[in-house]
Amino acid sequence: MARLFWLITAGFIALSAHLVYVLFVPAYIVQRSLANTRLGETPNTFVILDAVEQARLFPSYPASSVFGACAFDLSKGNVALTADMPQGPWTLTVYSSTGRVIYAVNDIQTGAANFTVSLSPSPSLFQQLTQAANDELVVTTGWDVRSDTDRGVAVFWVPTFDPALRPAIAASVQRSSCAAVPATAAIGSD
Amino acid sequence: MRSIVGGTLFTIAGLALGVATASQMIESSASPEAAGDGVWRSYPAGNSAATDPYALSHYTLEGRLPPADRQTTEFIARRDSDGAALDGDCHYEISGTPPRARWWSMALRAGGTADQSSLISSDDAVYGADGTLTVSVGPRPLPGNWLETPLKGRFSIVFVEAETSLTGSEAGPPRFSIKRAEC
Repeated sequence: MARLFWLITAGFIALSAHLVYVLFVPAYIVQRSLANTRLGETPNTFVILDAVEQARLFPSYPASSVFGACAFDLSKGNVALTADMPQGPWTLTVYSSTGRVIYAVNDIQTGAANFTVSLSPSPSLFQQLTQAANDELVVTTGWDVRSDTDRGVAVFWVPTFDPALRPAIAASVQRSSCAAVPATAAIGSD
Repeated sequence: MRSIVGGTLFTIAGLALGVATASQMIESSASPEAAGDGVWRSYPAGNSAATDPYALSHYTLEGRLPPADRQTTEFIARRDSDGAALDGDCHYEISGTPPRARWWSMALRAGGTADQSSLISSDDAVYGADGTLTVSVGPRPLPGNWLETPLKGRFSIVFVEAETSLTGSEAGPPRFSIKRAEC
């Protein structure tokens, strides 16, 4: 009887360890990884990742690539990500704080190098049921990306294989910005 | 006393079993590609609507962020075309036709780490007259496209490609075979 008890207990422990290893440990590691870069210091600020930060978060990509990123915090309102991208291939990927891809787009899909992405929290079920009229609040400057987590990171990536071109491309991407939108501006539509 | 020892053993066994099955499931989440002698594997983590937690863990357990679905794809080869693990002391020849990607890069990664050594890309690779690509991999320099193996021990080859179309389904997996030349 005691052996059966321990077998069942071991089974529960195995199931718990399995779930923790897949769901919580990776999330913790990637959050630590993000926190150890400048992205963890100043939310809603656009930065060009340096070589060390880039190698930590995107080790499979050429070191000469340019990564511009913004760690956003939607707990106090929307965040506007204004892109000023160079000609040529690039991608924008919005990640949750646990590394899950929320949204991704590239230069072919946008057809524009200058645009604004409005990051806003996903409405709760209650809000969806009670605020149907808010559907009329259309974001007029670009795309509206709804995030189901308050924190995350938006990453622009421009592939550059020639290190000599990196400074110029980095300077171009640096013109992009990321800023919290005041509550009145987020609601106002007149 | 006996029950304490037994309980401890069962607890340790449960923990080990949980972690082992999770690791196995993460590895099983890879999509084996038939092209290129079947040596290339990818871990499509999906997007917000349908994230595969196991494939996502393949990236996030290393503290890195996954490639976006239908934007870029990362393929990894840990074995040569004969099924042997890639060895840093050996020379290899990677050959085949590059995928129709907007760009691609190929790099080596030391076993068990995310650190990369040398890298070639679609911008600086030397192609054959028929459009094929041959890359020499080894510890000593060789003419043409060459990737230097990282120190000694096992390593893997990482191939990253950007999709070509709006829907992101045309590039396909790399069709490179990996043949061991000498050790």
